[in-house]
Amino acid sequence: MNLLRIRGVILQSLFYLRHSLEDLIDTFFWPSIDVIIWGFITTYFIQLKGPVAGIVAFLLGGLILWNIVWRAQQDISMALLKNIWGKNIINLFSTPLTPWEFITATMILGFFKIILTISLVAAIAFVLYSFNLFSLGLYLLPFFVSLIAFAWAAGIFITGLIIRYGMRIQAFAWSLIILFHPISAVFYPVSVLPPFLQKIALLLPTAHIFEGMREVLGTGTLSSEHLIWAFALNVIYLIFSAWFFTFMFEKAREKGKIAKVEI
Amino acid sequence: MDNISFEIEKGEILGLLGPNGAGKTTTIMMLLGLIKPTRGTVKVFGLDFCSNREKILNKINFSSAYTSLQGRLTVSENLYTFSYFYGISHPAQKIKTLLEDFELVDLKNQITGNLSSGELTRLNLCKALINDPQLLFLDEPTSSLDPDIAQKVRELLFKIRQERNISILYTSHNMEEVTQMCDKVIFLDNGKIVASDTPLNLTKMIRDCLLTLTFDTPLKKVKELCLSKNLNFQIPQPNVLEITTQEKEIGQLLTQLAQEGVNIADIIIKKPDLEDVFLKITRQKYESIKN
Repeated sequence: MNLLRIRGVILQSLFYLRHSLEDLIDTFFWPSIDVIIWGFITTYFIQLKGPVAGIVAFLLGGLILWNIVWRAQQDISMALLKNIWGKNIINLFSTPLTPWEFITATMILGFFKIILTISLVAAIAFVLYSFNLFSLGLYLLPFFVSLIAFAWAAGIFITGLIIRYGMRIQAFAWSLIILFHPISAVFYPVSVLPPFLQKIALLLPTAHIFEGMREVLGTGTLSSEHLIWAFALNVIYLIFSAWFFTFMFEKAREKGKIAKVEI
Repeated sequence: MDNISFEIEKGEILGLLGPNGAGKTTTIMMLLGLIKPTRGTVKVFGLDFCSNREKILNKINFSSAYTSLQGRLTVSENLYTFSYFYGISHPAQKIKTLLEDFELVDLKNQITGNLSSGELTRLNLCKALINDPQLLFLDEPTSSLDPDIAQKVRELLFKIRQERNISILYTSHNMEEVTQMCDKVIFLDNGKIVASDTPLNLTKMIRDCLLTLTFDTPLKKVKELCLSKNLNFQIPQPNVLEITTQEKEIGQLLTQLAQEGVNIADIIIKKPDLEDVFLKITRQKYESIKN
């Protein structure tokens, strides 16, 4: 790993961000709008005066934490896509830059972008709906680490697919992670899922984190079981995605796909 | 690619020619490590590519008409990015010099996506020289340019070669350009080297010249004369005769025609060029497929 080259990729992404309105919209606008809309919906639920105790915290907490997964995954996959769209991929990988230096740079930049995004949406949720994300206390830290680890694993996996199969599967960069949304129990407990989906859900670190989040918001404590499961699963997914990406990159080199990744 | 090996001397421009699909771009991509050979090894500077990737890529660079730099970034932002990839110690000074050399100073804050083809080619060349490479791969660098800009780029490349003594591997479909630019040429076909020599020696593979004569003698007489002398000829227009013959026989042939009363008004001799060599090679391939 060469730090200067990692800095080069980060610099390229920052330059891109400076000239790209859609990047700024993706980073700040959509998450803010999400929080505002869901905030109004929960306010409406409260006005119905039903058994909706704690619904603001559950929904907004879930929404803000899901944004970590969604944005962090997209940051990794989109960094590659932007270079493919710019016909820059051959130039990029014909330098001494290695694929893992590229991925590492996108992870570092993504981390800081997520901090900014989450800070913004947390501030909006606090000002408009009096929801304090930091009411999760110190648990917020392992939740954040765990969610970002899963997002990176997914992002690395999807990037491997794109480098191997090219632009025809580019939509995976912004859609594949959504497949995990319904079974991650973001807005509802795992118990509401059909039994077979519950088993699948518990194989995802996200489901454990969101179950944990509801436990903390509801009771103020957290059984360590969810955190242990989430971390253990993340280790497995990260190792698998790292192997998968390396395997796919080598396959793409064998098949000459990097030179034709725009197709 | 099938077991190819070639050498480029320091400061030499080596042309890589061949029909579409011959393996020109694949060769360059393999030398850049972007395509992995199914068998065998790739060696550059005598070093195995797999175990010396970083060392090799630090000493080479690449420019192609078919790739671009990040269109959203400005000219200097793109160059800054690449200076980090190559670990350039004083990027600002290096970029300033390159922009001056390639007359891009006024465009340094221009968005790359807004550049014209000629400007983009010059920017690609700036990128290709940012690490002072010892070996430069140029994949059809002038293919999307108008003749005037293409000529300017060729002059620029000559200047670069002279000033920096860089070895260049050059692919192009423009045979005239290759003849003008390259010290040596390799013809590739089906992944194999089928010919390798200087452009002059390669054209000597084809002995026949095309002799075009404009005459004001009755057509019938000229035709009978050509048949009687068993010439390989065509009459594309009523007063134009095209004869395919060896260069050394042209003088004698013209004398004979004059002695037989053919009144020759104009003579054009087209010696074989690389395009003829190219056509010969591709036709041989076509014939072999047909048979």
